[in-house]
Amino acid sequence: MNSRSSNEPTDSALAAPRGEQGDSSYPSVLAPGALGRRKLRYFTAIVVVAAAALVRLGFLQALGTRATFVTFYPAVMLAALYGGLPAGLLATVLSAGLADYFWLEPAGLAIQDPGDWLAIAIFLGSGTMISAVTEAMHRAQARAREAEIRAGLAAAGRREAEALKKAHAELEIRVQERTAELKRTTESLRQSSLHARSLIEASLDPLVTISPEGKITDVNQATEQATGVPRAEMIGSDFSNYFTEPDKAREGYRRVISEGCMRDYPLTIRHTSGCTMDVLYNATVYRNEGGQAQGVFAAARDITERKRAEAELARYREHLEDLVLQRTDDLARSNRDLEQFAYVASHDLQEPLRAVAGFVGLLRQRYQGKLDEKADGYISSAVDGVTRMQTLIGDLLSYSRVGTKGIAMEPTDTGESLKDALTNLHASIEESGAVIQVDPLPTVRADAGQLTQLCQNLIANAIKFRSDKPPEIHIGARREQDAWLFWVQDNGIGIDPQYTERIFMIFQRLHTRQKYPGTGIGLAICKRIVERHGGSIWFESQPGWGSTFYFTLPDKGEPV
Amino acid sequence: MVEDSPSDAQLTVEALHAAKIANRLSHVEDGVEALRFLRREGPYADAPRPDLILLDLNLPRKDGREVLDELKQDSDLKVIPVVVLTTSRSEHDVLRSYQLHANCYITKPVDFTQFMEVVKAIEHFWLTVVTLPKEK
Repeated sequence: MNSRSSNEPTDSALAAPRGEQGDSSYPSVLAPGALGRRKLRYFTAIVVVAAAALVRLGFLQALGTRATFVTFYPAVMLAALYGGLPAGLLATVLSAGLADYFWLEPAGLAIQDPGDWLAIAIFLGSGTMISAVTEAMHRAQARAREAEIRAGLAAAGRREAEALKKAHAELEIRVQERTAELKRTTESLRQSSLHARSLIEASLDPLVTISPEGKITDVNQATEQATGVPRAEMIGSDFSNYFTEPDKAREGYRRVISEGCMRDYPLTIRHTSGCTMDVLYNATVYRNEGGQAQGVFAAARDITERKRAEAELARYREHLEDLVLQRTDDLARSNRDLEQFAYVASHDLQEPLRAVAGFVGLLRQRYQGKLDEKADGYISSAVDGVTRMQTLIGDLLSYSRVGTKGIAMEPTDTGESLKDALTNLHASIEESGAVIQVDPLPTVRADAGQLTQLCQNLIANAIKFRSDKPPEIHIGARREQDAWLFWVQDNGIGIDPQYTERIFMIFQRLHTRQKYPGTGIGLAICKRIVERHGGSIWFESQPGWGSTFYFTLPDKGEPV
Repeated sequence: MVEDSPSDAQLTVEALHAAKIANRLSHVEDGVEALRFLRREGPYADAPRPDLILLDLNLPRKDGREVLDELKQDSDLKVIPVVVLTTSRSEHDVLRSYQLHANCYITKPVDFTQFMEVVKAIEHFWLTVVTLPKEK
């Protein structure tokens, strides 16, 4: 391994020069390896000596045996230049040997002439000196180079230090800037954190965050107040501890985790004092930026007031219902009493009426023509009066019976009821020559008897209040929403619309008794019957143009 | 005739007179008296046995319905035909009367003329047309 011998410029510029003996001073192009270099040095020494020898040989003629060592001095110099002291020494020795061998008398290595010894000695000495000096030169050069390098390095180092310092300073500035920024950011973060926190603390609703393990991680003031437990104690505890129904709370927590959010989950918070607070919880799972669940955030809404209000409302509603029931009872009773009164009154009036009518009638029988005219007149009027009274009372009885004697509603063929009515009126129909047209009529839930009475009254009116022409009466029905609409149309004298309300009232008449008989109860009874069935009755008419009476019978469309 | 209303009683009498049918009319005003009369108790020891009873239902002291019931349970008295003649037209009363074996039920007509006709018709039917059992 000879990493040291590599002369890459960068390495040598920064690495502290080692001053290895001779190694670093050699030209890079000729320094493949330390050992190699050594071998090469010696080899070079040998070569130059040999070359010197040859050159001296070449000058043999000119020089003879004079200046024996002349060519060997350059050789030694060259060898020393290239290979340093060892190479120079080798060259010196070799040169001396060769010179001695070839040019000093006698031939061969022996030396006889002391002058020759001196020459050789001087040569050796010179050679050694040359080598040493050259070596020293090398070394000095090497040192100088090293120093240069060092200086260069130092300069480079200084430059770099400068640059570093500058960079440092810049960095320092930037760091300061960043620190300032950081401070500002931290400050504003702190502010907004404080702000957010103050909002959370200001919330009147108890807020809580719960970890994925079900432990409280944070609460606000409102929660402390609701539970009576300080914040520090609550953090880390199981959240379900603070409810009257911990299982229900845990169930809610599970639902939030699985569904992501929950609204209006009812729970009751328990205060350490024993008080409870009814609340509705809104909770959600909150996540970090990566979408991982961090915990549950829950807000409670105090519904104590609301519950109280609801309870009161329920109480009032019950009370109201009770009142309504009571009133309905009262009303029903009052109605019954009234009807009973009407019935009984009418019924019990019959007897005295009969007495009056009877005796006055007997009077007339016995004494007609036997008293004066005036007496006859009085008696007639009395009889009339009583008869009328009887009719009125009879009618009143019929009217009151619509409510009391009505039977339960059953599916009734209205066509049949109409037929019965027509049968009852058969005499007056024939007498008046009335033409009656009947459309197909439906089956409805109704009281058959009352329906007959209703039709009878309407048709009787149509016949009674006829014009000069024979009465033409048309009866029909059509389906309306939730009901059947019936009509009885005639070509009679018509009714002035201003009497819309009046004609349906008891004993209200529009004509004198002389013109048209009747007590004025017919339509009142019709109205009562229709209303008992839940329908309504009205008419359309113009005087002189006939009338059409309409009435509805509700029919919810149940299959009949 | 068992009738509590004096006016009705008098009208009935008048009607019977007008019919000119020979008959004798006895009149009591309530149910208790009616039974005593028929059983010939007390002041009625010499009372004649009627061929026909006209019975009103609404009577003081003892109701006509009770009288009817008792009459028709009495083995001796039950053979006498009873005509219920009453103001009530209640179906319940009608049914009840026939259940108690009234011979017929007539509602007193409101109109007095008709009333007279009805009385005459009753008499004519029961005392002329119908064959009555002879008293033993």
